[in-house]
Amino acid sequence: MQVITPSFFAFWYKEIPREIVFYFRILAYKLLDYFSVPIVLRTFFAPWKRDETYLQNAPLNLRMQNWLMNQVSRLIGASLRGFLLITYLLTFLIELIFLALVMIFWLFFPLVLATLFALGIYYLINGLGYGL
Amino acid sequence: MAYKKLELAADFEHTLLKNLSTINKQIKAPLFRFLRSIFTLLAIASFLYFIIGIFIWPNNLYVGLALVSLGFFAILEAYMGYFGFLSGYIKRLHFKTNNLVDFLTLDAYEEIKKYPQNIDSYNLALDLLKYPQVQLFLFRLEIDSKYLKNLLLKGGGTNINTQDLLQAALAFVISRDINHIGVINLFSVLMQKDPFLSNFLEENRIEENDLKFINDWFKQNKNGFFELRFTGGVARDWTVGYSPVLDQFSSNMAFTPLADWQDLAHKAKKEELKKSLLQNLRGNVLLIGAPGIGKRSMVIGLAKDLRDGKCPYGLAYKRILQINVADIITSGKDAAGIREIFGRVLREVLIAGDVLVYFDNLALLLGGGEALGRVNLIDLLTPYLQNPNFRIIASISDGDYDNYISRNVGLAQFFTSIGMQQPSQGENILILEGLALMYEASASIFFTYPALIRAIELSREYFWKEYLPLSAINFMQKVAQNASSGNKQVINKEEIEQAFAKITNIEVGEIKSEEKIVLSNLEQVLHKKIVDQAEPIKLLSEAIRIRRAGIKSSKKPIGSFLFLGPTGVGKTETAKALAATYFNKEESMIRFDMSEYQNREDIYRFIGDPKTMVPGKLTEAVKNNPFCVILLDEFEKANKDILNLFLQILDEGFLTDAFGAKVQFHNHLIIATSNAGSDKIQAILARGGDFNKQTVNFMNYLVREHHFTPELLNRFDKVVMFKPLGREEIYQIAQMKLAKLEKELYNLKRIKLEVEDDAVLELAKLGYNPQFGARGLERTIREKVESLVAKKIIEGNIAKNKQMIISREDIEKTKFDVPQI
Repeated sequence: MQVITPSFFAFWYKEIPREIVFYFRILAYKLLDYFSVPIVLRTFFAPWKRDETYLQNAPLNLRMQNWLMNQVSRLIGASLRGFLLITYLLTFLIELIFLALVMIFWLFFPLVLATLFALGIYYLINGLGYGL
Repeated sequence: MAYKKLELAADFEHTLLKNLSTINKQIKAPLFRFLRSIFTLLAIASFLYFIIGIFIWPNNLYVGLALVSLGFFAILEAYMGYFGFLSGYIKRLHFKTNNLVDFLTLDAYEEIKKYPQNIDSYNLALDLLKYPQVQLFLFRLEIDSKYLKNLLLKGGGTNINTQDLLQAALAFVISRDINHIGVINLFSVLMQKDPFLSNFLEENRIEENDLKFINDWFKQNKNGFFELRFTGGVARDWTVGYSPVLDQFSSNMAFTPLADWQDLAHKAKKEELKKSLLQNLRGNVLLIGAPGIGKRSMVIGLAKDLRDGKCPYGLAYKRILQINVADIITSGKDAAGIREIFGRVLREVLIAGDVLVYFDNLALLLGGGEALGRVNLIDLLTPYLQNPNFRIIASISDGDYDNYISRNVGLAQFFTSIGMQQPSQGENILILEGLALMYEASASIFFTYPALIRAIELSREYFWKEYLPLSAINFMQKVAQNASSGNKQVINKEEIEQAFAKITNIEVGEIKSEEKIVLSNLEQVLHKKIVDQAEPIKLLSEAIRIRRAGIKSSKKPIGSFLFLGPTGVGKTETAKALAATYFNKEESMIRFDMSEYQNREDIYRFIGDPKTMVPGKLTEAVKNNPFCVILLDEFEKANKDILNLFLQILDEGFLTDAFGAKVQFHNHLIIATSNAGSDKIQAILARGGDFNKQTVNFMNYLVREHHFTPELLNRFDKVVMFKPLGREEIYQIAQMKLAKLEKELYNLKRIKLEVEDDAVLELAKLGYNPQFGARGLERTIREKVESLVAKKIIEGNIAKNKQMIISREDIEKTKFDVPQI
C-alpha cells in the first residue's frame, strides 16, 4: 500500500478531527480510571474500607448487632461510591460538551477565518473613511 | 511483523518526506519567518486592543487591522500546525508504509535524497558529520570528528547501493527497537558498510556490538503521557482495609527512588514474575541470585508497573510493600514482642487485601533472624503461604537457598523459584548509559562510551565482592563525585583508570613510566631486600611482568608458587618484599599460618561456617583485598581437605565459600611456603647438577613421603627450592638489617649509628645457624646491638645528632648467648 501524503484539506477535515476524537477518547479513559469506575462498579455494595467483622458462636443479639453494623459499613461505602459515580457522569458529560465545542470550532474555523477577514476588511475600509 | 519490512524498496518519488521537506524549507525561509514574527506581534497587539483599546479609543481602522492580522496569524500558525502534524504523522508511518524511505527522519532524508541510486560513502559521511548529534556520537566514542573529517576529505570513498544501505539501516534500527532511521543510525551503518570506515572502527577497537549499544544511548525516552493506564483512581483506597502496623513496618516499593534506567535489566524475568504471581498454586515467588544483580530493582520496577496499571488484570490495583524485618526486630522488646508485631503485620496484609509482600532477604527470617534477634519468624509466615489471597516475593542468595530452602521441602513447595543471573553486558551498558545521562544532567560532566565499558570491565575484574551492575554503579558514583570535585568535565577511559587507581591503589591501563622502571628492574629491586635466591626472584618477576603486560587473560591467579626450603632462607621475606615493591605496601599481603588448619573442622574457619554464619578467614580476606599477595606459611601442615581446596583455586582461580558466594583469586599472587624435607635439600644440592633437575628430584621425594600429592604440586605455576644460606649470605643479611636499623634510629632519635665491619662479621657469626638460616640473626642483632643502644640512650651517654660507633669489642662485651631455636 502506497501512503499518500495527506493534503491540507484532508489534514484539516479528516486527520485532525480523528486526532481530536483520539485524545478525547484517552481523556475519557483517564476519567474512567480517575473516578475508579471499574472498581466502584465491582465493589459498589462492599463494606467501606473492608471494615466488616465476623462473629462466630456469639449470642444471637450480638450477631444481629454485628450484622447491622456490617450493613451500615456497606451502606456508607455504597453512598460514597454512588456520589463518585454521579460526579464521574457529570464530568463525562462536560467532556462530551467540550468535545462537541472543539469539534464545531475546528470544522467551522475556516469559516470563522473568512469572517475575520471579511469583517477586518469591512472595518478597515470604514476606518479609512470609505464607508460602505 | 517488523522484520517483514526488511525487504522493502526505496522510493524517493512517492514519500511523505518529500512534502515534509518542501514545507520545512518554506517555513524556514526568511520571508516566512519574517511574516510570522510580524503577524505574531500584530496578533498580540490586536489582542491587547480588543481587551483595552476598544473601550478607550474605538476606531474602525484599528478593529479592521486587528481582525486581518489575526486572520493572517491564524493562517501561518495553521500551516506550522500542518508541518507539525506531518512530522508526527511520519512517526506513526512505520505501521503502514511499504516505502523504505518513509522510515528516515527528515534530517536523514535530506542527506540521502541526493543519492537515489548509489551513495558515495565519503561524501555522505562528510555531510552527516555536520550534524551536532553525529559529532556528539563520535565524541562519545572518543573519536575526534575533525581528525575523521580530514581523513575523509582526502577522498577515495566507495560506492554503496542506496537500497542496500537503507535496508541495513532499517535492520539495525529494528534490532535496537528504534522506529526511525536518524542521522546517527545512518552514520553507524555507513561506518560498518564502508571498508575504510570499518577499518577505522577496528583500529579504535569499536565492534559491531559497541555501535549498537551506543545507539541505545541516543534513543529518546518515549513520552508516556497518552499511554492508557489504569491506576485505580480516587476510590482505590476505599477497598483497602486499615493496616496501621503494616504501614508502620513497611514501605511502598512503588515510591522507592529508582530511576527508570535502573529497571532496564531483567525484563524477561519481570514478566516471568508477573506470571508466577498469578498462579493459583505456588504463587509465592523466590528470587534466587547473588546480591547486587538487581533482584530488588526488578521488584521495584514491578511495583511501579502495578502503580501505573501496566500489569495483567489479576495484579491490577495491587501494591508491593517491603517489610522491614530489621525494624520489627529492633522494635520488639523481646522475642515474644517481635513475634507479636510480625504476626500482626502478616494479619494486616490479609486485612488490607491489596498487598503483595516483599522480603529483601528471606534468610533473615530463616536463620539470619536468629542471629539477629534470636527469633525464628518463619513458622509465623508458613500458614499464610497456603492462603491464595496472600502473596509474597522474597529474594535470597544462592547459598542461603541451598542452606535453608532446598533442604526444607515443606517450605519450598509454596514457592516458585526464579533464578536470576547477572545482567548481560548489553543490559549493564544500558544501565550505565542511563546513570551517565543522570550525572551529566546534574553535575555538568560528560562520559564517553569507552569509559563506561572500562568501568564495567574493572568492576567485574576487581569489585567482585559486589555483583554487576551494583559494583559498576557504585564505582561510577565515586568517579562522578571525584570528577565534579576535581572540576573534570570529560570522563574518558583514561579518567576511569586513574580514578580506579586512586580508589583501589591498583594500577591498570597503560603502564606509566615509573611503573615501567619498577617492572623492568623488579629483580634488582627485590634483590635489595633479599640476599641470593636468584632463581625464585626471577620466576616471580616474570610472572608479574606477564600479568601487567596483559598477555595472560586466564582466570587463574597472577602466579602461584610453592617455595621449598629450610627455615630462615628468605621464603617469607621474598613474599613480603614483593608485596612492598609491586603491590605498593607490605600490608598488601594476606598471611596464613597453615599449621593452624590441621584438622578437618578447620575448613569452616577457612571458608566460612554455614551454621554459625561466621565468614571464612581466607574468603573474607580475599574479598576485602582484591589485589594482593596471599602467603600460606607451612603449607604442608594444613589438613588434606584444605589443601584440596587449592586444587580448584590454583586451577580455576575461584572458590565458592560456605555461603555460595564465588570468591575470585585471579588478581592474587599465591605463595605457599614449606620446609617439608628441608634436611633433604642439602643432600640433593650437594649432589650438584641442573637446578631444575634437582627441584624435580626433591618434588618426587616430597610425593614419596606423602607431604604433597602430585596433583597439588602440578597445579603450582612453579615449585621453587630456596637454597640454605651460607656464612657469606648471612653476613649480607646482617648488613641489610643493620642498615635498616641505622635508618630507623636516625629517623626516630636522630642518632647516627655506625656498626664497624668487624662487628657485622661477628654478628653474622653469632647469628648463623646452618639449620635455621637467618632466623637467629634478628635476635642476635636485637640483643647485641639494639639493647646496647637502648642502654646508652637511657643512661644519657649519647646525645642527639652524635655518632655512635659499635665495634667488635662492644659486641663481644655484651654478654649474651644466642639461644638455640
